[in-house]
Amino acid sequence: MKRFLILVLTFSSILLLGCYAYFYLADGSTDANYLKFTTPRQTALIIGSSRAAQGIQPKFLNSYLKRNDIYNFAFNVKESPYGRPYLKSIQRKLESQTQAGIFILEVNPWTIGIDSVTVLKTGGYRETDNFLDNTHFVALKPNIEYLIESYPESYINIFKDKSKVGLNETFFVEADGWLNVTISLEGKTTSERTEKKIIRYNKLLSQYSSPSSYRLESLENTIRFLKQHGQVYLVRMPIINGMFKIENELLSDFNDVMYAIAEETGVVYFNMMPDRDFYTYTDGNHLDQVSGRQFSINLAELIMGSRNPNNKE
Amino acid sequence: MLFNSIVFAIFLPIVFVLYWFVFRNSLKLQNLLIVLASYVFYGWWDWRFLALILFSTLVDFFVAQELQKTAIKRHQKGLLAISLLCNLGLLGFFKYYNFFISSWIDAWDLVGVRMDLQTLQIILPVGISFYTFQTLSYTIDVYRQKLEPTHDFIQFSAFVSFFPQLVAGPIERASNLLPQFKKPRIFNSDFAVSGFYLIIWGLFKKVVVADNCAFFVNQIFDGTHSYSSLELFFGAVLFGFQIYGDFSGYSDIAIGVARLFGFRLMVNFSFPYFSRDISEFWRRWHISLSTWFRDYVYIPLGGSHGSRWLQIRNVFIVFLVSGFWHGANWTFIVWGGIHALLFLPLLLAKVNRAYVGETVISLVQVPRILLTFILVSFAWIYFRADTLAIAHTFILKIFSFKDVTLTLFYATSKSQLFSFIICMSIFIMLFFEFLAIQKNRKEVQLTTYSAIFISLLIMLMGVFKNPSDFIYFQF
Repeated sequence: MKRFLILVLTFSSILLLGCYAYFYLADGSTDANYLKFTTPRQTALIIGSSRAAQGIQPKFLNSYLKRNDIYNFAFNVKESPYGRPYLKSIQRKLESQTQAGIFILEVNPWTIGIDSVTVLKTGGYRETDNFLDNTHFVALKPNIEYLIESYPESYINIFKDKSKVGLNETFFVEADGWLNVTISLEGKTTSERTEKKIIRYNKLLSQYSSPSSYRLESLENTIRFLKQHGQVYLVRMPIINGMFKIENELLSDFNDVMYAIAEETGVVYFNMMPDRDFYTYTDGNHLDQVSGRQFSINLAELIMGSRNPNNKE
Repeated sequence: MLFNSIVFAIFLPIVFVLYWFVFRNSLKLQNLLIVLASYVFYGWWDWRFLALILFSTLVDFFVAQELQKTAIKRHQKGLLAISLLCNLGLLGFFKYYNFFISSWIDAWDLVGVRMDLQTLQIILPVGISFYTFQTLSYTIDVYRQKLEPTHDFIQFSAFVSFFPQLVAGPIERASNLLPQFKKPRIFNSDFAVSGFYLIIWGLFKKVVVADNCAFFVNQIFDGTHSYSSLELFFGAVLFGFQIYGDFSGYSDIAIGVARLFGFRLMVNFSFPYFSRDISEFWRRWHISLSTWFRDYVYIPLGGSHGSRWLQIRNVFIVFLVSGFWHGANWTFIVWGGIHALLFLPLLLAKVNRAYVGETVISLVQVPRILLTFILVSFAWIYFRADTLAIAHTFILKIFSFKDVTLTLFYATSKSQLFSFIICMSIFIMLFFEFLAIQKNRKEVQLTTYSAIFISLLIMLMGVFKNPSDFIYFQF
């Protein structure tokens, strides 16, 4: 028995230590979410879908707002629409003592809509039981819980994906949470991506319904929770006309809904959709790096302006 | 509970410690622990179906007791009938009810009569085909007076519900497993180490070979129309490796776990993809089921004795029943039929035992091995396809030779990685198996270094997200 136990324990220890060491290789190239669960708890957050994850660059916001703590904690519309899992994750990620935080909540008709097909099929929401729901430790490095429970690939990808950084069409999550996407902006590939995106969202239109009372209630709960810790801003980010038309079909009075929520909860809503022609996009739905920088600066100016009581949006 | 889950990784050491350190001095308590652990293991999936296992256990325990008490043949036959009715009744209701109803409706529909019968929403209890066959073998052996019934209910319960092999076999014979519950167990380090390494080998086959193959197999079988002839062909080949890695991996883990508790289970797979003909394939594939059908169906029917027509009949019955055992779908029956057709020429030419006892493989036999593998892969198409129509389309498209591209396997960096992992892991699996065959071994025996190497592959290349069910759970 002793021999067996020594062998098994030694074997298991070597493997576990090996795994632990290997998991240290995981970084911003591992996937679009992992790094956000390895950084310390935060005091100022950007929240929302992939539009915000890719399009809002904390370093410019920080620089203009004279802060150094704004962190991008946005994911994607499939995983992080407003709902119970996202709110739970935000609560875990926020430093509980925060008093003067700043919270930018990116909103769009998809983030307050529901995928009716999934609800009918499974009786639950799309994001139920996803990484936001399952990751209890949000500031752990390496985050073994995330890698074991939620990392969707085999672990050899951790190593493989590191080698892709710097090549075309790759991503890297920066230390401030910004999802830095390197993508070819050559005319043809961008128009192809945009075309595909429009086809995809047109398909989604038939299975989505917006607004959902559950999502609106969750958004309000998120605002109310974050208001206890600082200032909250709702932001609608720009997209190309083709995508905007689809959104209008999904929820034509989205702005009215947002203004009503903003008024009810006492926060500010910035509708930045009218400026959509001033920016460039990688696929019609996401700002490219340069436009993202400009957008972040514009957003910072709006926030600064809104602090002036004589200059309300 | 799945063998490839975190829950099982916690469950197993707890049971191991209780078994060898807390209850080591009491055989009865060790057996009781096995029963409780087995019920927890099974109940983790759905506790409601524990009642079925308990029912099956009670029926066969008491039937066997009564069989021993009576010498009147008529009474014995009646008792055996009760056991058969209860066990096969459970199986028939939970597994085949909807199949019979819908087939009945379809049959009448063919002659223009519309039937209005309702199918039911029935959940198939995991492993029901395995444990009912295991308990049945006990009662039949007692009936045939080949086995003395046990009078210890805990021992018998442990035999029926023994968690390592409860849900997907090997389907143990009472004559092999039951006596092991009667004897005090002494821990044997070498035996336990061999079990530990077998668990690692089984995990490799499951999470590296099978689950990575599933990436392409699922795409190909879910969208037959979208793929080229060559992609479909490789889809069938990969399914062959997927189901082998999945099922034999489960069996290896089961045998390995049983060894940790001092039990020796029967070998269930003996390198079947090195078979040189279909007959040999069936002596190497799912051995516990093949021998079950041989002993309780084929031989009682007359086996290979009697007239040529009787032999043909017996072969068809046993293969069709075996196909039907796998699932309530015509695809499984056709799969069994194909194997019967492939087996018959060997039987009729009396060469079906050509390779019995000849384990070492020579180079000149490689073409035969490849041919057997291709034939088996062809039959797997029916096994995997959801309907006969899909299987037919699949096969027709393979033989249309219209498009011979393999884009699916290298189009994206993700598919390139999967292709690399699959090729490498299959090569490693076959290489280790080839070495074992050449050394005349019944299983792959890892050394400490090779176990570390395989463990690293499991860690790096295994699929762990949402641990997938073992395919044979559904049977």
